[in-house]
Amino acid sequence: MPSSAELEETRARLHGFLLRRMGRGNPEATDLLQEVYVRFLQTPDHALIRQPMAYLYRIAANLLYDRRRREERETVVFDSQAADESAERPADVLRDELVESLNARQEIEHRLAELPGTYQAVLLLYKRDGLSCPEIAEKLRISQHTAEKYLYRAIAHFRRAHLASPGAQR
Amino acid sequence: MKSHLRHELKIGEEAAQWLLRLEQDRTSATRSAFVAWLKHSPQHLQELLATDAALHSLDTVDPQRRLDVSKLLRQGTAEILPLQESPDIESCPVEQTRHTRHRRARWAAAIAAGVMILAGAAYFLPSLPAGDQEYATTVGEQRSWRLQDGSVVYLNTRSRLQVRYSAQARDLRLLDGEALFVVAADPARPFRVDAGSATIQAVGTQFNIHRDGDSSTVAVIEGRVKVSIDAGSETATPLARGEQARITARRIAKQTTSQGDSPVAWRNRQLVFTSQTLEEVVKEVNRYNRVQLRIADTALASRRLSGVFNVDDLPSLLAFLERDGELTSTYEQDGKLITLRVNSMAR
Repeated sequence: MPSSAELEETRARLHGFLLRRMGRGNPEATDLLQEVYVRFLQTPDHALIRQPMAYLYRIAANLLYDRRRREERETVVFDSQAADESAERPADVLRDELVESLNARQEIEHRLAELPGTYQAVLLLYKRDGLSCPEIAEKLRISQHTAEKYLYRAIAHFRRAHLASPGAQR
Repeated sequence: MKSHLRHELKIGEEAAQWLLRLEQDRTSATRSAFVAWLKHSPQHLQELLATDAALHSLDTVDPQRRLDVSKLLRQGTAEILPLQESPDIESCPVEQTRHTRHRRARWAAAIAAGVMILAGAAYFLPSLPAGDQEYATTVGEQRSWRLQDGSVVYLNTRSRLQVRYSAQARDLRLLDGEALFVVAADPARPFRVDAGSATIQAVGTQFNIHRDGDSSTVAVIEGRVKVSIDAGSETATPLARGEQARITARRIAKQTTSQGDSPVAWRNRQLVFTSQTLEEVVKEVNRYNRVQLRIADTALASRRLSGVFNVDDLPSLLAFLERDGELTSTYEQDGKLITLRVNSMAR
């Protein structure tokens, strides 16, 4: 099984992929998710249960890797010489990745700002200030149960603002 | 449509619940219940991955802590529902306004049009091992890298940067050229850039350093930095958002910047000049091009000009310089050198 550093790496890679493609109802993302699902179903339960997230990300990373290798056969390989050349041929360089990562944080803050204030507040308390659910409950003077509900709901709404789901083409 | 959305939100909440629960509760009963939930439908899996991505994107949210939670809470309660009561999911506004999306599209288009060299390759490479790393660009090249702490560095043309991360500090050295730093917050490890004569320290911010030999210019785009001169014993000079300072071996001089004179215009491969001498302009343009400009008549060197140029478009710069007929340009040395002279015909 992958180490935690590897897990983080594949996770980051998959997130990047999903962030770039899911929002546009891209069939590529839907395909990938279907493939992941099928492989996940095929994996024996005892293995999954040991480390579910690590397994999930390992499956996804393998699929992503295969996909990228297929793509790379068609695209230019990026090396320093290619970088040099592309300085003279600016138009045909892959630009998507940078555009996305460049402004990712500002973008996220815009998304967050679109949510109702309460949701923003619990997300900030949880992610920025690192408070636990009981701590959030105490701070807002609400029950722990309510605090949890708020947090789950805030996350679900943020996720919707963040990425439109590929299946949700209306 | 409404019920469809409600259903999606419900699964999203379940996904959030699982993600948070798995962090604390690692019993095998929880894990197998989680696996069962995940296997239930591809939609569950999709929501889980999307929710995890969304949560991770908040890892470095608001590093400068500008958002005020109590203010948000007041705003939130007025807008939607009283906090003390159990809220009803339908009463939450789920249809978001779309104006930010347009803003984003425009921004993305602006960058896509301008930025040319990018970190595509670096993005997919495994994160770099600890210890010293060197990053460099050649003439005309711009690249960016995501460092292991999540900070991003953009290197402009002909630049060199060394990175050394340890458990105590994030130490970087700009050996040559220009770099823009978007710093991930990590209060335990200061982010310091040694630019020769001075050290610039930041905590969760964006700033640009242009090093030219022993002096450098620092511009803060977001947040704050502290600048200290290595030689001097005086206390560090703080620089705030929008401020810029020129640093030499002896002193730190704050500068005023004019509107439109963006310190990071280079990221769009633009050069912005505001009443600068031809000598300065030539020096700047030469950083980006293998074809070098040279001023043959010293009388021309102090002429001042303003304008915005694309770094890759020498012909239009030359046309601009020649527009009033007092200057001519000649290609020499097989086109590797362009000499600027006073136009004798104009006399």
